[in-house]
Formats: sequence, C-alpha cells, structure tokens
Amino acid sequence: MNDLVIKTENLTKIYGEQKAVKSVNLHVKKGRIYGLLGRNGAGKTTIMKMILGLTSITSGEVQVFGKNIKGQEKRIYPRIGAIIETPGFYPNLTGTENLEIFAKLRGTSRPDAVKNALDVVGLPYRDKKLFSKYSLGMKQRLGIANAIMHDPELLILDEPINGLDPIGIAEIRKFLQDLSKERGKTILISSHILSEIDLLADDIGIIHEGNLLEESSMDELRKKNQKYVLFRVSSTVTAARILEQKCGGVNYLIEDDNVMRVYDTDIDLSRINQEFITNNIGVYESRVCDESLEDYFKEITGGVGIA
Amino acid sequence: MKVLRIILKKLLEVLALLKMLDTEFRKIKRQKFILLTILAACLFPIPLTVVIVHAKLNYDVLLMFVMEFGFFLVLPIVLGIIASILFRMENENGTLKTLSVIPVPRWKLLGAKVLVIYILAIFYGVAAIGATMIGGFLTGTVSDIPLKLAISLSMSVLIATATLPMIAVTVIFQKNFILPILCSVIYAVVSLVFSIMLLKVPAPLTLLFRCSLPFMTANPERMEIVESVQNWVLPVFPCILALIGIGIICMALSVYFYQKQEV
Repeated sequence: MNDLVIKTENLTKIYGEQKAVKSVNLHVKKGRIYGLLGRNGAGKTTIMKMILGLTSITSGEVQVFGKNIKGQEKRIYPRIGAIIETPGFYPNLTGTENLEIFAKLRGTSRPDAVKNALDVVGLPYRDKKLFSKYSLGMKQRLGIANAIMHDPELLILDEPINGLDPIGIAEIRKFLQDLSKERGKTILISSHILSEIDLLADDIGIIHEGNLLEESSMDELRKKNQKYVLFRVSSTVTAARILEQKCGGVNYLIEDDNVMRVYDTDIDLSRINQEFITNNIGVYESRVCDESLEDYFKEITGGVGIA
Repeated sequence: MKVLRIILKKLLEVLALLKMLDTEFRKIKRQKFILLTILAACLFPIPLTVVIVHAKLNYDVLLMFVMEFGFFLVLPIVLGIIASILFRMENENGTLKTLSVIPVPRWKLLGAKVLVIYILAIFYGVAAIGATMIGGFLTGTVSDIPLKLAISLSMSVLIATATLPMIAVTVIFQKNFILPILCSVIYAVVSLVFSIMLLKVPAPLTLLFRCSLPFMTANPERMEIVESVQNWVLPVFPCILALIGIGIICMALSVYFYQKQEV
C-alpha cells in the first residue's frame, strides 16, 4: 500500500526475559492522525522508540515512507519530528537557545523557524527563562516546537499533552488537527487518555501488554460501539439458555454470573423479562445502554478500563 | 571537475564540523563549573610564581613546575571533569534522545566534544604559560618566548591525547558522574607519581613525561650526567607515535560504546 507512511511487520522487543512488544503490525496512513492507545507500560513508547531507531529491534521490521529504516536514517529522520517521553533539552539554556542549537544541527534554513515554532506553541521568543525552570507543560510545548520546527512530513508524538492544562490541550489538539487536515501531515500520537484519542485521531491502534489488539479507523470503531440491553439477573447461565430457546440466534455476552448484554436492541424486552420470570430467574435490572469507547477498551483488554 | 567536487565535499565536511563545534560551545553556556575550573586552572601558576620570586629562582624553574604539576597533574583532571560534564548534561536530561532523532550521528557528537576538550586544553596551556611569563618578567629571566609557547601548545595537545583513555572511561560509564572524575584524578596522580619515581610504566601520561622531560627540565646539564634519568628518558617521535596509537584505540572504543548506548 503506497499510502502507508509507517508500516511495521511482526515488530517485537524483548528486554531480558520480558516481551515488551509482541509481533505488532502497525499501519499508519498518509495524512491521517493515528492514535496509539494503551495503558501506561503497554508498549507504546517502545514501539515509537523502535520506529525512531532509539532502541534496537529484537525481531520484525519497520518501514517508514516505504523504506526500511535501517541504514536509511540520514534520509528518513529529517522528514520526521518527534517527542519521546519527556522532551530532553539543555537545562542551562533558554527555550530559544535550545531551539537554535537544534535548528543549527538540523540545518534548518529558514531564519525565522525558531520564532515561528515558538509562536505556534505559545512560548515567548528570546525569553530569559532557563529550560530548568520550565513547568512540565512548557517543556511539552518546547518539545512540540522542536518537533515541528523543520516542517516535517511525519510527526511521532509520545504522550504530547502530558502536563498541559485543559486550554493548552485544546490548543495543541486544534493545532495537530490543522496540521493533518490543512497541511496533510501524518501524525502518530500515543496516549493513555482515551477521550483525547477519541477527539483527535482518525485511526486507532489499541495496545495492551505489548499486543496490538485492535487497529481500525475511529469511524469503524464507533460503529462497533452499538447499543445493547443490559440484564442483571439471578443466573446468567440459565438466562442465556432461555434466550437461545426463545429468541434463537440472539447476539449476547455474559459478563459474569449476574450480568449479561444482549446486542439485538430490537428484541421485545417485556417478552424476555416475562420469559425470565416464568423460568424462575430473578430480574433485577434490564435497560438499554450505549457502549462507550471506554467500555469497548475494557472489553477487549479484559481490564479495568482507561482514563 | 572531480577534484573540485572532492574539495567541495571536504569543505562541506569541515563546515559541518565547525557547526558541530559551535553548537558544542553554545551548550556549555552558563556552565559555571566549567568556567570556574578553567579559571582556577589558569590561576594555578600565580602561587608558584610567588614562591619562585620569593626564593629568587629563575624562570626556567617556574616553567618546570608549571609544566610538571600544571600540565601533568591539573590539566588531565580538569579535562576529565569537563568531559564528564559534557557527556552527563546530555544523558541526564534526555537530550541525547532528542539529538538522536534529528539525527546527529553519535561519532560526530563525540568528535565535537573531544575537539572542545582539545581547544580547552590549548587555551589552558597558553593561559598557564602566559601567566608564568608574567611571573617570569618579575624575575627578569624570561627567554625563548616563541619556543616556550610552541612547547606549551604541543604539550597541551599531547596531554589531551594522553587523556583520551579517560574520555573512553567517561563514555563507558557516562551514566555515572563521579566514577569517571575519580578515575581521571587517580590516573593523573598515579601517572605523575610513576614519572617522579622514574618508573617504566607504559601509562600514556608517563610515556609523555618520559619524552618531554628534556624540554621541561631547568637543569639539562644535570640530566645528562645522571645515568638513571638518561636511561629513563624516551625519544620524542616514537613516544608521540605510541600516544597517537593509544588515542586512536581509545577513540574507537569511545565511538563503539557511545553508538551502542540506548536512550
């Protein structure tokens, strides 16, 4: 597929005895925002580090702009802007001085590149404040400024909104959306904040314990999050048997001994309740619910959800 | 046309190196510890000058003391501390990660840092000899100024080369700030003790001491008649070759470990 900017094949990383990333096949399309969603320690940063060559790949392959990154770093990296974990800068220098060093090392030709980048993220140009005195939010902003300063085609941003205040988050979100929609930039962004990925991403990859559990467009995912009928009953095993006998082919899911979901919402709820009661099943609750993205995340990770 | 292309390519490489060097100096802005260390090292000849003037000794004795203690003891320690700071400031703050995705090749980064160390060594050498000469003018016995400046320049470069094993130690243990500094101090002190004891230990600083003694001594006539010293002194050229060889091995080791380091 020519429109893939990042493609990984069976990407695996093993630290000692621990498998941090397990055969991940990632597909980031050109001009789209790909949200890598997962809990802390799920393997998001390790995947990004492997894409950027910051850590060795145990097995598998990474292709960026259709080329295997190994040996092509000099050609590929200048087309990428990245933040991995907390942005690292020289603490004894100001934000402007730091960006000037990185602009020089990159060979950024535009004389106003540093000023423009700082303007975009809302940091003052030629400010006297040293990086060591920056708040986490300011550090993140400077990291984003450094990542966009050379106008890269691809942005790889690891938890870029960490430490930002709500207004800052909204500003960066708007900026990233504009970059993608208006200027056709491709963005791979990781976060453990589901609502942020929901608001920002076009495509999503859900990662859990090093496994990429789901990869789809946000639209497809939203379609999957259909309505369902929740039953809280005395015995879900008996209730399921009754459902199969009386309704045939009904799509249901047993959560535990007492809670089950029925995904066919056009079923006659009163009739099912009646059947349950007739068969001595205690019905404590039955209602129509909308499954949120968080519920879906919980469901596929088998975990306790995400922020 | 081909020659022109090669010249242009080489020129671009030199420009790139100068750019790296410029950024390396920008990085140490406001690094008070580096400035203080250099300043303190440059002021080192002053108390020696006071002693020499007070004892009514001549300039060559002052120069010998500055060379032996300033160059063979203080300079390697100062360079070790500066190297530790240069590597630590990128490691501790995750800056190396930001540099790696630009990408800045590690060998270039290492090369620029080593160049900074050489330049600071030269600055130290010239400043120390300059300060010594001021002291020498007080005793009124300064002679052969260009020759002495040339010797101090060469010595600074050679001492920096003999300190490259400590740069390798700094790179290998760069996550530890104190250990490389401690190694530099031990290396400088032990090498100087070996040299003063006329031991034939193949340590780079001792090798350098053995070949540079004829240029440093205030009593060349005495040196010629003492057989043990004569046997201990080494010829200059093979010593410099040996130092260059050690330097190349240390740089190769440093590059290997610096490139291997994950961020």
